[in-house]
Amino acid sequence: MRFFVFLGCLILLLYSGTIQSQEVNKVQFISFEELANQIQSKNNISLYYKPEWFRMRVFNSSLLQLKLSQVLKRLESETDYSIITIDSVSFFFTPITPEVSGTDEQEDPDLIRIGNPLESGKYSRITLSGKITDGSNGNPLPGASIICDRLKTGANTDKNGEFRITLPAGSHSLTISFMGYDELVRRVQLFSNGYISLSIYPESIKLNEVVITAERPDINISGTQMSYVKLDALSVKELPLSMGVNDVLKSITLLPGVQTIGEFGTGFNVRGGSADQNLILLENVPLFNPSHLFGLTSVVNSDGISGVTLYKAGIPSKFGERASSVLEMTFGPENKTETSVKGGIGLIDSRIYVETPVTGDKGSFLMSARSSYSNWLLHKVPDVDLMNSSANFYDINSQLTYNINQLNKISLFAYYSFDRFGFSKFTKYQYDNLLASAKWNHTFSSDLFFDLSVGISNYKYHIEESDTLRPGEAYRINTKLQYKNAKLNFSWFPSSGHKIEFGLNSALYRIMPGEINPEGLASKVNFFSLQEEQALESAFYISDNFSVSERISADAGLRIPVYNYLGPLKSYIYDPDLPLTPTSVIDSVFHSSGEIIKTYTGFEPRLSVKYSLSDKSSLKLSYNRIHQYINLVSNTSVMTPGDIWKLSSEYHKPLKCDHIALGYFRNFGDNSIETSFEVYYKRITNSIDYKNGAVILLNPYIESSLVNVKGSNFGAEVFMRKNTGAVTGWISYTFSRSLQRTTGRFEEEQINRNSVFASNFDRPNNLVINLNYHITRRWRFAGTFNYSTGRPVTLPELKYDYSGYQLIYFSDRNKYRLPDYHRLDVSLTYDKSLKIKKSYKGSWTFSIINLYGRQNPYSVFYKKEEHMVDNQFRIYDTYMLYIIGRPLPTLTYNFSF
Amino acid sequence: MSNKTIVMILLTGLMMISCYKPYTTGIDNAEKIMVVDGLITNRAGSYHIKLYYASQFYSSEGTEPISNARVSVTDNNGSEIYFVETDNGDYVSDASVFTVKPGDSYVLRIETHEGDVFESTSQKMLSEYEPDSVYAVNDYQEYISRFNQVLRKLTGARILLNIEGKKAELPGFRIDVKLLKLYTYSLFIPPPNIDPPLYMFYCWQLDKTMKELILTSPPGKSTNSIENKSIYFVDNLTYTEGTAYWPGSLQADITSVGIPTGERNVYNISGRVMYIDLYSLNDDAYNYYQKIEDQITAEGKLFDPISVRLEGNIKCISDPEKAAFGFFEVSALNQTAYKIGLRNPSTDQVPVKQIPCVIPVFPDGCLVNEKPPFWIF
Repeated sequence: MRFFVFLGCLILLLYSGTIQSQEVNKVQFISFEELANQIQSKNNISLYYKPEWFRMRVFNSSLLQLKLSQVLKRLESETDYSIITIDSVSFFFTPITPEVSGTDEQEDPDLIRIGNPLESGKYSRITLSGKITDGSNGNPLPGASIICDRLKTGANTDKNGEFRITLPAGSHSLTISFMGYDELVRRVQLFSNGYISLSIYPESIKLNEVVITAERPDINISGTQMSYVKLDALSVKELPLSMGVNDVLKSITLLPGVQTIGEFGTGFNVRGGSADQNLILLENVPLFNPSHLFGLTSVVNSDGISGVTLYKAGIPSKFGERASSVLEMTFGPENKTETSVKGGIGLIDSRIYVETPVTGDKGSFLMSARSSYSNWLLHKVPDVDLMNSSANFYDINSQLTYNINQLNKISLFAYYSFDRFGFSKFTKYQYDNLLASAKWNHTFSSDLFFDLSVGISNYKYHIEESDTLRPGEAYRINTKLQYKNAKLNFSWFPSSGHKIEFGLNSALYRIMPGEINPEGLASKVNFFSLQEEQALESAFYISDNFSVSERISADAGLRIPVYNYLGPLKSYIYDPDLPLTPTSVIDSVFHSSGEIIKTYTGFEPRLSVKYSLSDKSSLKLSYNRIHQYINLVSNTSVMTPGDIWKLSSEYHKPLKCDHIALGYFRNFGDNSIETSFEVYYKRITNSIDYKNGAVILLNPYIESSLVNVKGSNFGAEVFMRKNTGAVTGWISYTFSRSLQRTTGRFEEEQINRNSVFASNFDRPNNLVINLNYHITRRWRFAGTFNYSTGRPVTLPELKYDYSGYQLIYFSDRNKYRLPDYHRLDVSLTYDKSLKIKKSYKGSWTFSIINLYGRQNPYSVFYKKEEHMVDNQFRIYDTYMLYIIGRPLPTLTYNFSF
Repeated sequence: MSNKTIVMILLTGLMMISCYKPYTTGIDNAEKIMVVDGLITNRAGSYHIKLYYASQFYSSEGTEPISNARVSVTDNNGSEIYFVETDNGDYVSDASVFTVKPGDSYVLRIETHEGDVFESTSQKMLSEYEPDSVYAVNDYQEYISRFNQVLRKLTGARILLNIEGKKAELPGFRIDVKLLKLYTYSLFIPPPNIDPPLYMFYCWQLDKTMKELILTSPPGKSTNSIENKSIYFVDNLTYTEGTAYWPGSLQADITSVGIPTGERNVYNISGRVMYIDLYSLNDDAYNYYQKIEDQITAEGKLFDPISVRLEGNIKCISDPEKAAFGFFEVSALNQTAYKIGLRNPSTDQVPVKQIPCVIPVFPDGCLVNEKPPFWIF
């Protein structure tokens, strides 16, 4: 109830603010006649014009503050008239010559007339709204560009494929373009405000094996946002294959600033951040474990994905919760008018996808499902435990969208993934993600829209150990995380130069860190359960995307999160003069249900500024601060399903990340070659790391196993991409460091004696070369080379015997590095059908992963195994584990109809 | 492209397997850090405290002992017992003056010849516990054949142990298990002779060279009894590959210790004896052994925890910057022995019977013409 009261007050406040600003604006705007009179009297000049040309126009009175030359230039840019003078005293307004004469317009059958011709001359500037769709299936195309070349102005379509552009009355030639689609040029004649729908068609031959952006060609120069990647449905399908399947999350890691621990493992690391610092959103709901089979493939089936956006810096204020990045995935049908079915058979799984219209073209329903048959892979590994292991997973997602009317649209989304991994005969791991969301889009007016969404995300993890010979020791451990959120977002276009977004987010976390249960009647294991944790994170945000001048535009925002750590909970009180250990507990306090144990309030400014150096180059600067209130506690180098999520509490302050980035962007040719150079610095405080020898699972004093860490991540990213021609691709080089140190007072709370050490994600050099070569119309070659410095590791330095066991003294944390990582993947594709009109299209792709068989070390570990090294017999040694140690050929057949 | 081609390409993909290989990298730690390997129990006799320096990880040289140190143990009554160095770095107590009592606490103190002083934390001796029952349950083990990399099954029996708690809560235990395989053979020596004398060889050998650490559940995590704790797997093989010996004395009626010849032959097993050492651990010792277990069982693979250093209970009190490895353990020890029979075909069971605990001096050996005292068949 309080939430709605607050929401109502907020809306009233904003509405009253709008009224006030409108009143002020009335005073600030004057008619053209008044403006002209004042200009004439102030500068002793004469202006010549027809009053009816500007009858409906008002101008900002601040123009009078400018010099005469500046005023005239502004008037030229804001109207469809040029101003000429002969003697510097008399100035004549002359209409810009229309491209097409009136007679021709009457006869041109392709000319699209917008508005009522009877209102010709009534308006000088006209707002054209419209929608761009894929002509082959009717789907909207987000990010398509509409450009009026003559006026050097344009607009992009939003996520619904819709756009708004304000142009002078008269005739114009509009160019509609979208990556991977044929360009469309249409002439329009504008009489008054109106609406237009246009369709464009996919190119007959896809130019790029990998397309990582699908917006207007110069969006990297003209847009305010930096350090981001946006992929549409088409681009997603053309990402490089991973293990023979299309995997968005794996492909993301080929981009500058994004890395992984290795060829296996859950999650990815953005600019030196840990995997839990990435907010992965599926239709507005976070996904807590993004990997099947411990990282072999991601849990998101790319069928049905309509868009993917990754923000690495300058994260908009509507996003919070995680410190390093936001990966937003949206789902939607490919074809809104027809039922279609797709399927695929891969090395480790099979999938099926169905989409169908609902009640004509008012709605759509899609569903995709995938199931694995990966046991055979495990049974080929020469290890007794793995030969006795089993692994299977499946995932299913569906979405229903329905347009109630032109102003209201609802969508429902559901997702479930399940993994079960039986290790050896006795141990079984199981985890699942359940996500659901409901969203309502409402249009108040052509200037004001809102989205309301509610969602849940449940993640459960389960370990079961039962040896038939030891039924008394059989147990089952369960952990669970429940997340519920509500998001209210308003988009407001008060004038053509502003886009204001504001809203409220609220998320309720509930974590059951673990309980152990006896498994079976014979088990003697005692039931034991850790206390549940819960917290409420709420945030208000507002941002404005606006142009300061022709060259400068900005997106400024603010987010204010309020975090409450809630009861019921029994908190332990530790002796302040001792390190945090279970033995230093001196008392405990019981907090009742709903009681606020600790409150943290954040202040998160967000700013992105673009300065255009020319129409081919720009400088961008961004800054964001984000607080993170939930962390993954892990004592492994990679994110695993068994890691524990931990909320910020009275002992662990929220993680705070300040991220500043500066970039230079330059395009060459007709935007066919994009280049960028970005530098960044991230300061992270209150990050969590584990103490040496920490026990993570079922530890009632988990706070005593953790230490606070300060981190500094910095680096530079160079990126060059060629978009067109027979040879396309990109080269990126990233230099980055990710360093951290503890600040503990006591030795037990220190890692490496509080000195600076490399984080697990510190890989200074990273080079990616992606090349696509169109050998002929049907044959395409693609290759990806990836190099990066080996990641830091902790290795044995000394050995000694104790009680008959050889023991190891390990080095300082992350003192050494694995050997460098490099790999070359190649593929050859044959397109069977190139005709646009033909519905059935197929292609064969033969690829070889790790072409030259590099044995990239995943980890170096210590093991007891008899073997010979340099003619010496050794029992104990260090070993290097590699995942894909040989060339791996795969064959994929892609089809659509 | 035909389906056959597709299948072949997919089969090629099977080669994608994770694998590991030995890897030697540069290590730059030349620190000399003392290791303390010390154990005192409630069993009568001398106790040993061994001191030496830790070695470089890739070093193939032996350990460097620490001699001329002053080693003593002080109990909670203030009595200080000195240990005498009998061998390089091996310090031994006098059995006649030092006896350890359950319930008492002990502190180890070491003063090196360089003047550094190290002390352990106080360690309490707990009470002794005895296994209530030891028995066998048929089981099997799987292994990868070295010949053709095929999964194979080895049938046998799992030896299980029960301890009934006589108090509210049992401590943590570590269990040290040794299995001796006994075999005999006879030779007429010296051949050829018209009437050569017969020599009887009574041989024994330790079943495994690798020592396994077996820990019970942590104190307080289970009920006041330990049931069906698996401690060993014995196979059903009736033969063993054992060392061939030669008489120590070539007189047929003289008992002698066999001399190993270096040859190995297959012999029928005469019997099996299992020795179980049950150590009652205090919390410090249990935690230390648990970390040892974590370290020696961790394989550093995909999701294994990152290995960490073992923190022992020895600190340098003269220079806190100096580290020491190892642990001073004070544990109550119970020793028992069991005859482990071969599987009885009629009952399909492996019989287990407790026998007097007589421990051989050497793990492998042979006595000629006389049964050793632990020979029970």
